Amino acid sequence: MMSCREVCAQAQDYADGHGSNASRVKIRLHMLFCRNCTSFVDQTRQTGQLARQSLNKNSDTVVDPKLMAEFKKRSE
Amino acid sequence: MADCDLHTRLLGGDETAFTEAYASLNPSMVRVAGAIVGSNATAEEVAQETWLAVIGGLTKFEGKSSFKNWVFAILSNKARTRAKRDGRNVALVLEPDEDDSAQNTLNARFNADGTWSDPPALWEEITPERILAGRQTWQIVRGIIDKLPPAQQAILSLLEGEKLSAGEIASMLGLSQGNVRVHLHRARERIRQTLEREIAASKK
Ligand SMILES: [Zn+2]
Repeated sequence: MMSCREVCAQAQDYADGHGSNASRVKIRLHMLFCRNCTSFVDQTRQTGQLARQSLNKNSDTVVDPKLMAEFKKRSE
Repeated sequence: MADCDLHTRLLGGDETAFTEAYASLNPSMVRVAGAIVGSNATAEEVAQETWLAVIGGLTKFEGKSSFKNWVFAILSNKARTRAKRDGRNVALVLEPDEDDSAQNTLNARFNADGTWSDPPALWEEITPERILAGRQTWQIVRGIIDKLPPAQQAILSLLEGEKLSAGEIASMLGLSQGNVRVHLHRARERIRQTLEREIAASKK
């Protein structure tokens, strides 16, 4: 059986769907019996999602007027 | 917005499309340039130069790669040229061990036999809009990302933000795919640890 430390070392690959089938099965088996590692893997998964969602929020960026002018000039 | 669609709209002089493209790509572009040139001010300049080249080259884009990849290829070339001119070593190396503090922090939470000594709590599902410490989660996460080492920021933006593959990122930044993964894992683990602290603090 994998130790908790080993499971956590592979948590990101697991959350990304990487890793060999054998190691994925071992991690799943470990998580069946380990609430702590289940929490850790879930935190890792949520962190990935939050990073993605956070990076995809466009803050109210204003285009530099010089660039916009250049863009308009091109399409004339 | 679909990639080829975006190019067509830009070619047609659609100003809304240009504003959208700028708002969605520029933050990642500044991060990637920053990792190569090493200064935020220079990175902003490189991103600006890239946009000028993109505007000037719109008719030359042939669709051999995606529009986004084309923009980032121009950016990384410009950033490299700039870094060389400024006498910087353009090879993005893994930051030395001090950068692995996230890993050390995690290691300290296990007993010698590999069992947890300081186990994590179960998070309920956290949405980007959830308020933590007076701010929305996505803003907190953005703030954490802004403080990551430059290479980690660049890789995270390209992979999670721009959906580029580890292989594409590796060749763009001159790293091995393995290094890209290491940077990515360190970045995510650092974000997880910071969130873990924020969440624990908000429950007190
Ligand atoms: Zn465990």
